[in-house]
Amino acid sequence: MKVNGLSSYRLGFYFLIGFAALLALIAVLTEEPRWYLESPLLMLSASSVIGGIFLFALDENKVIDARLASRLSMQGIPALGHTIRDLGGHGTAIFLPPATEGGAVMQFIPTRFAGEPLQRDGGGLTYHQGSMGALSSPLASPIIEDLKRDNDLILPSEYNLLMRAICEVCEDVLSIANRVEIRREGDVVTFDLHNYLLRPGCASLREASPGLCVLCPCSICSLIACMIAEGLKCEISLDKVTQDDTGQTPIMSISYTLKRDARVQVPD
Amino acid sequence: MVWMLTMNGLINLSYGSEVGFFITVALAGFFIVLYMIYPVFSRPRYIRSLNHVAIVYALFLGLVVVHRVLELITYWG
Repeated sequence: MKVNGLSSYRLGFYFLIGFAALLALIAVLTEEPRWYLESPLLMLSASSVIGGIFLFALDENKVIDARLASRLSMQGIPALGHTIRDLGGHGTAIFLPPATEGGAVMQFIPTRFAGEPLQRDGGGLTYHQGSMGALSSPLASPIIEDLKRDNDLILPSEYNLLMRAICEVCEDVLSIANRVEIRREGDVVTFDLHNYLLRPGCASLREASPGLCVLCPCSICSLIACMIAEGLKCEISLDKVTQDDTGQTPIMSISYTLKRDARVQVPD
Repeated sequence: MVWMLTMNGLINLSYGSEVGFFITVALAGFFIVLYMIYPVFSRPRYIRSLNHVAIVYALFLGLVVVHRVLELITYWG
């Protein structure tokens, strides 16, 4: 949250340090010098300094406007989605777990037309589960790489731990949601992002073309799917994205379907 | 802050108010809070800043403890 260009942490820091200075001044003016170290006012002042520095450390610089961030995160996705659709893309994108140890998650988008076989970079057209489709790196690939390199991200293979890791990434590392709730019903896993930062861009994209979301998932939907695919080593597809503005805080619900493990078959 | 205010109140109630003791208790609370909020699977940017603050606070805590030990040695000596 930002107030007049200052984050709430920074405001809290200024307030506590100012309060500490005021208390110390009152202590100096009202107490005798030999009782300084036993003055309750000085202790309150020390509390304020310790708390203020704590808030200062929690503050992250270089905060950009949430609306701008949401627009930037959606840049190019409508054009890419329409291109994929024009090339025969349909249905939902499937995130495939890494084929080898140390490999990357790939995204399979079913297409109606047959085309060029698999390219050298791992992308191109291929068969998967009997249907032809385009295989490409998901939009979140660079983010995952950055998180692993810069934030020492670990993706556990146990379901509950993995969900905790996803919450950490969304709430603490990327700070895109205030709180993340996870529900599971059978093979469907739903993530409720409370106060989702990139909501405006996401809403405008779904309003313009609802089918694009599941055909060509944006960076954050793609990021969560990639983390699940890599952690649990299973296929996953984005089911639907819904928004609920009726509650106290707006909630963005993203539903995924866990699929059975299967590898891509390269055509002859 | 709640922890520090509570400790401040308790110390004053027990008539044992002394800044060194209070800082020790307050910083112990800080380290407990830091341990509780420390992420397991990732390292957000703010954790690096908190690590630096924790190092400085640990040194400060060490200074307070050393000062108290020296006081005791002088007293017993």
